[in-house]
Amino acid sequence: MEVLTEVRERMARAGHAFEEVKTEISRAVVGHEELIEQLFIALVCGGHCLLEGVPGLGKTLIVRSLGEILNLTFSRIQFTPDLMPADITGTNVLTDDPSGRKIFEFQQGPVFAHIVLADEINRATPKTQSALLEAMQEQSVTVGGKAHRLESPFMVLATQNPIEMEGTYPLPEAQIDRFFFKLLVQYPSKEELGRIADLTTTSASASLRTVLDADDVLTIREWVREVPIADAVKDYAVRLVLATHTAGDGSVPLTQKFILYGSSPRGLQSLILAAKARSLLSARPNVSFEDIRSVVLPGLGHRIILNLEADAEGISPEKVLAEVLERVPEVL
Amino acid sequence: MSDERLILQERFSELLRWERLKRREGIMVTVLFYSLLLSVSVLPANALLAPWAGAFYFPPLFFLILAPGFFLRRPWGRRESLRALFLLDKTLRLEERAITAWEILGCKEAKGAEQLVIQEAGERLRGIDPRALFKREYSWHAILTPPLFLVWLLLVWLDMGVHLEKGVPGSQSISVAQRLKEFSRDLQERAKSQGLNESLKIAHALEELAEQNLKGEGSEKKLSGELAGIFNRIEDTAPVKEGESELTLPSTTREGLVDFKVELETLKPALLPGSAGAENKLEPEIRRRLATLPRLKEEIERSRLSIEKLEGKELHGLLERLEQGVIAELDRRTLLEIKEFLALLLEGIGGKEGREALQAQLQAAQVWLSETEKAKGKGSLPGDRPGTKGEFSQTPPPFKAGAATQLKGLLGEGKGSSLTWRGEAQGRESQISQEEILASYRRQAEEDLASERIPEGLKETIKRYFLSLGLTESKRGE
Repeated sequence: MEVLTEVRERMARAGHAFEEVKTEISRAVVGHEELIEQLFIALVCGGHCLLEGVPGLGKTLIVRSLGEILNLTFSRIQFTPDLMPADITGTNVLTDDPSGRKIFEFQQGPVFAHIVLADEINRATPKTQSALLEAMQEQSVTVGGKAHRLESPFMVLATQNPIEMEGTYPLPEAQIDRFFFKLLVQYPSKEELGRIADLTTTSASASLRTVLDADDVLTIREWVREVPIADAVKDYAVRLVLATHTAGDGSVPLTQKFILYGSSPRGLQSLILAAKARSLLSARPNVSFEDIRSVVLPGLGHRIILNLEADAEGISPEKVLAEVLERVPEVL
Repeated sequence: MSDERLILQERFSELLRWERLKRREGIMVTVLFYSLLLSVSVLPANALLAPWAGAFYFPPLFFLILAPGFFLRRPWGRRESLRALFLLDKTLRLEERAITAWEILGCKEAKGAEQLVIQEAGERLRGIDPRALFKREYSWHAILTPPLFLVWLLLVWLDMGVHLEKGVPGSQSISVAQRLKEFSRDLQERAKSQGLNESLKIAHALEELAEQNLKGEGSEKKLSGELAGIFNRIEDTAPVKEGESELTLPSTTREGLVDFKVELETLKPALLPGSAGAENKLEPEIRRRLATLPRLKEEIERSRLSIEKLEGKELHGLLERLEQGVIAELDRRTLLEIKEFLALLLEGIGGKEGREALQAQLQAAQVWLSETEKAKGKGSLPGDRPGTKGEFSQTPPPFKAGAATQLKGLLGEGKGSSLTWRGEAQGRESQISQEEILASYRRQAEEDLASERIPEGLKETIKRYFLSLGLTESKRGE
């Protein structure tokens, strides 16, 4: 019975933490509840997120607010075409030691933070973009032949603008695949716009309080991985991923017609981990089919590459995945 | 083991057992539906099947054939169990707690979060009754099966099968009537030519009945009844019973009887009142002719009379008696043939089995006929030496086989075979007497006279001609 009490307590704490995060963020950010939930899920799963939306929708504000309430170190990198990798990772600089000798000392770049906001990531050159690859995958940075470990929790939140594509460098597929979620920032509704106006055009500024620290986040990460998932539910996730492959078992017609490359195994990992996190945050001890379904779009949307025919016909990955969800049965 | 584990295991077993039962029932109903559908489909081909394959055997037969296939195609496995649990989760909004708990129960040990899943699933499933929760649902197979069964039953009752001999319902009686008419015509001709009164009456009755049915006035059932009536009537009106005749006629074949009748008729003109033979004392010519008629000679000897001492009146009386006996015997045999024919017709009306029996009878009759022909050597032709024909075994065949061979118009064209012998003719005396040859000609003439080929007006003239052949020849000889 003690074990059960402990598990129940964990779930309650995780749920409570999430509720607090949502409440606190909502003081600074209007709307975007689903986006905030997905960001939190990515955080407790140890993943990185790519936020895509037109300018002025509050992408940066959301990320900055999240950094504040989590009591985690936060840094922002504004990606520009002239940004160099060393500007992100840091570099060895020549300094004097206490004895007056000249030595090289590693000067940490902005990547050395718990939460890194890579603003307008697609404006930097591929060389600079790839500077983030090692940090995102290995959670370490190698400068001058020496690897520097990044602190946990480490999370990259990159933003990109789908318009004004002139002078931008689309992210390479390898880097896109390393993002746990790709989240689309939607335009606010009428009511939300009114509240935004109230919140941002008056003298009252929202000061956010800290609700979670790094240890809490790491603890929740451990709990997430302990959530049991039935083989039948796992099989459903596997079939969903396979359905995005043109030659996969149970691939749907739209997939066969418009997809060039399907999701990688990282897509499956994202689905299952995110579903586990979602069930934990819902205070449920097991993963449901609905958990899997709810994370398919953010988890697989950026991992499928459409062909030119899809571009020509205006087919989006979301549309393909919607059909995949409709066609793949939960239980065979 | 905790209470929740026990409760869950019990509930899951109960649920899966119930779902399995429902599925089995569903498959059975599906198989039954398709069995009935196939039975209805093959019903028109009923007549093409073997006699034992009645319409009532179709559904169980198809059921036995299809059921193993259906059960093997859809065996109960893990997938089916998962489906049942998935349905349970959906119905009770358990958010996959049942499926997860079921899988965890299959493991030896449950960790912290897994124990919580079992606990929560156990709490929610504690009071459920799978039978009440998942009631039987009737598929479209189950809904359509009872009406389909009724349709099948109705079709079987109406005997909607397309039989080979009948294109439309009721045509069987017409077909039988046609046969009957054909048979009665032949019978009438034969009876008229041979003077068979009782057979002629029956032939008239049969023709009348056939005409009625051909006009569509009678039904199959009525026809059957009428035929049965005639059948009984024949039994009552038989002119002479088998063995009652004082002659050796019952052991003689029909051909033998006809030959004998011809012999009698050949001799009769010579004994007509006013002729020389009608006197008390027989002329030598008549005595000589008597000696050349083997069958008649035999009967005279059987009557313990002597040809040399025989007087005209005695001979005349004997001939009258013998002729009446022959006619009565022919009449009796003809009636027996009619009876056999009617029996076969009645069987034919009775259904497929009757038709099979008819075919068998006809085949047996053909076999018997060919064997009889072989046994007799030359069939209706004279024997190879004078006076020996009667010594052959001429016992009438068993009734079943023999009578069917006489059913003219029913047999149709059979297979024929012939063998031509070619060789040099050897000049020697004929082994067959002239009287024998004349008798065979007369008999053939009788057969031809009985047919429709010869106009009625000429029949008597032709008959007289052939009867006079022997006399003319003997006069020439003198």
